[in-house]
This record gives sequence, C-alpha cells and structure tokens, in this order.
Amino acid sequence: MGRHGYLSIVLHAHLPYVRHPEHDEFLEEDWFFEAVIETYVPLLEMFERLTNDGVDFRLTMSLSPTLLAMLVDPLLQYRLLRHLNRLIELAGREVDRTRWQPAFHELALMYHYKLTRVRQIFVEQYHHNLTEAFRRFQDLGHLELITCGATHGYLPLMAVNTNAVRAQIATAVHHHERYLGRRPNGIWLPECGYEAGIDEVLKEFDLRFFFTDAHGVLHASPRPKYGVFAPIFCPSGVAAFARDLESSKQVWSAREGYPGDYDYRDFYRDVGFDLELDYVRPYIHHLGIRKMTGIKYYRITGKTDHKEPYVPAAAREKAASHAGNFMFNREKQAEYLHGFMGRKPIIVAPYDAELFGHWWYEGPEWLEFLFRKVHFDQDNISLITPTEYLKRYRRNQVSTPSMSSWGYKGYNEVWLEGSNDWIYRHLHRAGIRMVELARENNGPVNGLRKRALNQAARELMLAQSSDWAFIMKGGTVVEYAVKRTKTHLLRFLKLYRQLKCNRIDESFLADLEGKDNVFPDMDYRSYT
Amino acid sequence: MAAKKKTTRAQAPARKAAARAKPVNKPKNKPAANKARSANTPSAKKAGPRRKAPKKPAPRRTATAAPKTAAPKKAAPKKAAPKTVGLKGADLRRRVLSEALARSLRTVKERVEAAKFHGPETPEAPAPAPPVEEVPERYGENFIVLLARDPWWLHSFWEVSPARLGEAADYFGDRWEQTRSVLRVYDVTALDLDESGPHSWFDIELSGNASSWYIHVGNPNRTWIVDIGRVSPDNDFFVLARSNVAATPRDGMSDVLDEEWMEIDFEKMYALSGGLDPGQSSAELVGELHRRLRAEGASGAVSSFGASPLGEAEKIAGFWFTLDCELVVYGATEPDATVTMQGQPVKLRPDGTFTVRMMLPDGVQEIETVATSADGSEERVITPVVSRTTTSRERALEHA
Repeated sequence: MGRHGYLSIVLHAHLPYVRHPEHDEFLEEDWFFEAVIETYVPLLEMFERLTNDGVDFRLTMSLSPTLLAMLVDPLLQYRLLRHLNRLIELAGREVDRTRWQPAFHELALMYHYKLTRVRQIFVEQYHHNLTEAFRRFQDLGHLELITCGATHGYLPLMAVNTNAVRAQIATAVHHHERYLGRRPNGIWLPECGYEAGIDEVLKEFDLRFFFTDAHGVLHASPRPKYGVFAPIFCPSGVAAFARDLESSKQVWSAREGYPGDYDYRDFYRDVGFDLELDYVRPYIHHLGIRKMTGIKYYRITGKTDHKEPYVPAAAREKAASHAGNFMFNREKQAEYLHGFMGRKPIIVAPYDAELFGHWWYEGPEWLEFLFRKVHFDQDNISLITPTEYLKRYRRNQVSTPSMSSWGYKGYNEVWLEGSNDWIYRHLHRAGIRMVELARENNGPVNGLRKRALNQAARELMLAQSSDWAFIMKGGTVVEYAVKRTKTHLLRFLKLYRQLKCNRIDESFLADLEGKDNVFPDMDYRSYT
Repeated sequence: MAAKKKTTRAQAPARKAAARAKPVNKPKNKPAANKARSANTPSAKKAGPRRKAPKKPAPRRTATAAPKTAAPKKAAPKKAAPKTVGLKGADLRRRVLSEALARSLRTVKERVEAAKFHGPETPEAPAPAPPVEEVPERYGENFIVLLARDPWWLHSFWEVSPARLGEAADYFGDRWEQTRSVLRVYDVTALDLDESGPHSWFDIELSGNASSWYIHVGNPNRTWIVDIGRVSPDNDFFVLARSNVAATPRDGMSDVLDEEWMEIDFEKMYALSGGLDPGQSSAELVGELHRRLRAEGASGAVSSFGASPLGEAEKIAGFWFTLDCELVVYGATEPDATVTMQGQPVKLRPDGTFTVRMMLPDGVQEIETVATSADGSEERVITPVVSRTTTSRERALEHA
C-alpha cells in the first residue's frame, strides 16, 4: 500500500460498431484491425509478462459494448486474421527488400516478429476471442473491467428522454456480463458526458462509480473538499471520480508531454505511403488508395521533414526514463497532497486505450515500465482501482457534479454544433417512437414481432453512437458518419411503420438482423 | 435545484404534447382540450403577468442580435477538394490520409479518437451504391426540444404542425399578418412555470424557415424553458409548443459550502486539481481553467507529438523532393532448381522464374547469384555488380 497515495490508471477502449458483410473489404473496418494489432494485443502481452514476473499491477479498463461485440464476431475475427496475414506477408517481403540497409532491415525483422507474435496470441492463445484474455486478467485480480454506454451514445444530449439513457445502460450492463462473466461495478460515461440525473439511472443497474473531467467535480455543488483527489458521492449514492489534469498533461501534452519525444516512432512515415505503389498495392486499399499499414521506419527526429531511422533501443530507453519521470511526479504530488489533505489522495489518470500502441507506439512499453517501477522501486504510491479506493474510504462527501465532458471546451459543443446538430431532431423523435413501441408491446409478444422490436432497438442505438457526431465535427470520414446515421434511422423508421401497421416484412428484417447483428440479447423492453 | 429540475422534467412529455396558453376571452376553449397545463385555468390567468409585464430591457442578452449570433452554423468546408499543387510532402501525405484531420483536430485525445476514423473516403465496391434515402424533413408532429450546450448557450429544435399553426391563425384572425414567429426563452430556475411567472424572459425573432436555433443566454447555472409562438405587435403571445426544461451548467466553483466537510484552502485545492498556477484568486483560477478548456482542449494540452499539424507548422518551410532507388533482379531457371543470392535462398515461382526487389543504398553491391540443378550436379553463377552514388543540390531559380 502506498504511503502517501494512490494512482489509478484508466484505459478507455472503444470502437463504434463497424461491420459490413455486404462488402468483401471495407476500409473503416481497419480501425478494428489496427486497434487489436497495435493496442489490445500488445497490452495483453504486457499483462502476461507482468503476471509472470509477479508484478502486482492494477489497471481499470472500460471495454465498450460495441468493441466487445466486435471482438466476438466471427466475421470480424476472420477478417482480422486475413488482414494480419497480409501484414505478415508484407513484413516478410520487407525483410528481403531491406537486406542492404541494416537499419531498416533490423526494423523489418522486428515488425515481422511482432506481427507473427500477435497472430500467435490471437489464434493459439486466445482462439480468436480476445474477451477471454481480458477476462483472464480480470480473474487474476489485475484488471477492473468497467462498461460504457451500449453504443457510446452521448448521454447529456439524450437525457431529455430518460428511457433512452436507461436502455443504453441496461444493454451495456447486460452484455458486459454476458461477455466478461461479471457485472460491471462502474462505468466510463461516453466522453465523460455527465449531467445531473444520469447517475440515478446508473444506480438502477448497481453501477457504483463513473468518471468526469476535472471540472465536473471541481465545479460540483457543494464545493468538493478534496478537489479531484477523492471521489464525491452524488446524492443518489453513485461515486464520481474526476480526472487529474496534471498527470493527463504529461501524456497528452505536446509541449510538456512524452509522446512527442524525438526518439519515438513517427506515426505518419508509413510504408503504405512511402513505398513505390506497385509494390505496396496488395496491402493498401484495393483501388490503389494509400493507407496506413503499421510498418513505419522513422522516428520523430525533430521539427523537420527529414526523419531518421527509428532506433528501438533508444526509444525503449526513453520510455523507461519517461515512466520513471511520471512516477516521480506522482510520488511528489501524492506526498504533497497527503500532507495537505489529511487523507491519501487518488490520482485518476484516464486515457483512450488506443493512444497506447497505435498513436504512441512506445505507450505500452512506457506503461509496463511504470507498473514495474511502481511495484519494485518505491513505496510512496501504489496502483489502485476505483472499487478498491471506495472500499478503503467508504465515507465521502456528497456533492452534485457539474454537467461536463472531456471534449473540447469541456461541455457539449463537440457533439452539438453546425456540422452535426441536425441529427438530434431525428434521434429524439426516434427515441420517443421506440419508447412508444416498447410500451405498446409490454405484454407477451410473438416471435416475429419481438424480433422486429429488438431490431428496431438495435437500429436506434446504432444511430445514437456519439462517434458519428464526433466525426462530422472532426471532418474526417464525414460521408461515412452521415450515411451510418441516416441508414440506421431509416431502418428504424421503416421497422416502426411496419410494427404499427402489423405488417412486418420478414426478409427485410432478416437482412437487418444479419447486418446489424450487435447485441444478441437486446431487449426492447429496456425502453419502458 | 436538481431535484426540482427532475420533477419538472418528468412532466416534460406532457408539456410537449399539450403546450397551450390560450387567452381567457376565446369562447371555444374547452377545459377538456387542455392537457397538461397552462390553458384557460386560473394559472393561465396568472400566466398573464408574462404578457402584462413590461418587456424587460435585455442589455445583457443579445436577443435582438441573436438571429445573427445565435445560429452559428459553421461554414467550414469539411471536405475541401484535394489541392495537391504546391503542397509540401507532409501536407500531401496528410491530405491523402485525411484532409480535415490535421486542420480541425486540437487535442491529442481528439486525434487519438479521430485517428480511429482516419482514411480517405471509401469509393464503394465496383457497383455504384444506391443513393442514401433522406431522413424525413417533417414528422407530422408538434414539438419543441431544448438542449443545453454549455454554460452560456442553449440549442433548440422544433416542428410546428399545420393544425397547430391553423389554431394560431384562427386565434389572431385578421391580425395574423402582423404577427411574427418568436422563440420566447424563460428563466425558470427553481420555479414551476405553471404556477408562477419566470424570473425573466426574452424573445428571439425567427427568420423564415428556421427549425432550430442556438440561443445565447449567457447565464450559467440557470434553468430554462423555451416556447415557440406567434406574437402580435402588442405582445399578444400564442404558444405553438413548449419545450422541456434544460439547465445551463455552472461555469466555475460552486458558492455552496458544506459545513460537514470543512473547506480547506479551496482555491489551492482547485489549482492543484487543475494543474494550474496556485496563489491566484478563484476568479483567476476559473478563468485559467476555461482558457485551457478552450485553447488546449479539455483533455489536456494540444499535442504536437508525431508529425502533427502544429509541430509541422513550425518547421522550416520550403519546397521538398525525395527520391530513392530500388533494384529489381529477376531471372529464370528450371523449376526444381535451387537459387541463392548473396548466400540467401531465393524462392522460385512454379514456372522457375524469380524476382528479387531490394532497397539500393549508396555503395557497391556484388550480387553473386548461384543456381544449382535439382540433383546437385550442376551449378551456374552470375554476379552483377551494381553501384550507386547520389549527389544532390538545391537551386533557387529566377523567374523567366
């Protein structure tokens, strides 16, 4: 137990449900492949090493229900393996091609080794289903697995319809238990989007805690005595933990943060873009549009276009020193706060999981060094999960957090602005209709009708993903996000009309069940 | 206040369904027609003060200016046509990768999340996809919904049914031409609008076909309701629809102190929590937090790690050009022969041909290639010697 305080690292792992059986390949499915290959498997590998070495680490991870659904989907598992095999083939060719350039040759060998290792872990160790892996470390007591909104719907803008919020939470909690074997004790609110009242819904499902951005608790009423360094209880009894901006800054910030270090791997210099087109063509988009492969040879080097070859040993040293630095700062922070507070603080450091490995290649190494150093090199702080902290400190101040999010500007603007505000009218009306359908069909319902009701609920939830609004604002694959929103809304409205006239088109329904097959246990009654 | 908001919120569906505020002197008002509330009931008469009270001057509200500022539809192009002429290498790469990604992202976190979604638009598989059907423009319903965006802004969207509009037209009769569409925004903090008047209210004149609006209330930690209605020049107001309740969040520390949890130096705790400079006043601290939320993004600071847009903007500007060489060595022998090149085995295709492709650095490569017959009795060796040297220079040209 840390003498002065606790550090709670939280990784939020989420992907929107992207699965297109109607196409043999689909570009946006790459998000899933990249996340698995570059983030989730490296993290799992790291957990394995730590466990083998007897490092007693603690990590809180949220696995969003849509991500879980994708991890267990056979089609996506198959496509992931296909993608992985192609990359291994490319890496093999790279090993040959770089034979006369030792610096690159070493890297090609590294990638070939790492990719084959990913395949080995995915296929042989976990039989294509990584939920088994997360379950394993949960059962060993190292991972606390928490849930998230079913389709990562942005709750403050949905909360005008409490039933819609309730359905997102109910579906999430149910499927979390189905896939991971245990009910979640806590939840990562999508985008940390909180407003008063949401905690009451969480309480209905025995969720004991959630997270907000720093100002969610700092601006709580009454004033939180311990700032962000202890949880507060909402009047409903659900605890709110707030992000510590100091520790976030060290990782997220460019000026002061680690990932921009010149020895770290450069994200953009990818062979998919750098190499001659005919050579890479089989590994990029089939129409010849270049894209990331994950094989990258250069380091950041500096604020310059000229990049030097990546040197893994140097990067690893940097990761170790950055981990030591991070730990040192947390030790000092905890010591100071402990004296000031008269209670051991909890320093909550949440990050998107995909930062580690995908964006910041050395992230998992950094995390591993951090866990090892915390375990072996000091005793001022120790790692903890929110559940454990609540067990140790059962008495906490009651205070109502402020409406907030961790998005740009701190409130709802990211998801409610010129590019995306048009969706809310439709989501709102659809939500009202779904509640209407649920209430009208509250008694026993026959097979076909029940299927249609559940599928309508799926379509609505898929339309509600906050990812679409986020993409529309971010301006990346806007057309795709718009199409997803409209497609799911239209499918919902069609099912609604068919249910109201009691003329359900079975082949249409079956087609939707095949494509939008998320959440097998969806229960439309969660909308009542 | 939170409790209050919840009870009124529970009534919201009823409100939406039946927002009516009919004046008393209209003969055909039927009590049965009035659903949730404000109709020709005594409370509606009490609602009179809303109409009788002089219109408050609203210096701190930008109500009249609202039509321009209240609907900040962003006109930023989200998919600019790819401009490749004159682009620097990193820009070109970014453009291919994702045009707006570099421009619009402000935080690493956003970039992390958005990087999940990077990629050029997918041209669909060979057959052109059928055009996406459009979502309905109208739902044939009468409603208005209010959302809070941040401590200073609300957003509302609505639909007015022809039937309801007809009722309004009937009500005003030949005064209809003089009426205007307005949003009437009420501050109902800790109040029930059915039972008492609002703390204050203001009107926003709506233009033509607007069906949504951004409302600048500029007032954090308050609770709001909005009506959409028609108003005559003498402030006779007909409610077309009434919204749910929405609350703007606080924009700073709460004023409420809990005696049981005695406050330590809260300004100091606030500063420590935010990674801010301690020793400032609370106003300064809150200001700094908000500056950080606006400038750097809520989830920490802007990142320029990797070849980020911010980092790259600081790079030395200049025309760029890269070039590299690969060597392709290809040959053929009997399909069952074995071939090695510089000691490394070479894989033959089923027809006995092979291609080896290699990055060619500066220097000399002796590419001793040995083919051995299947029975090991014969051997052929061919050794091309390839050398590469590279020079480069820069030149500034004068315009012709």
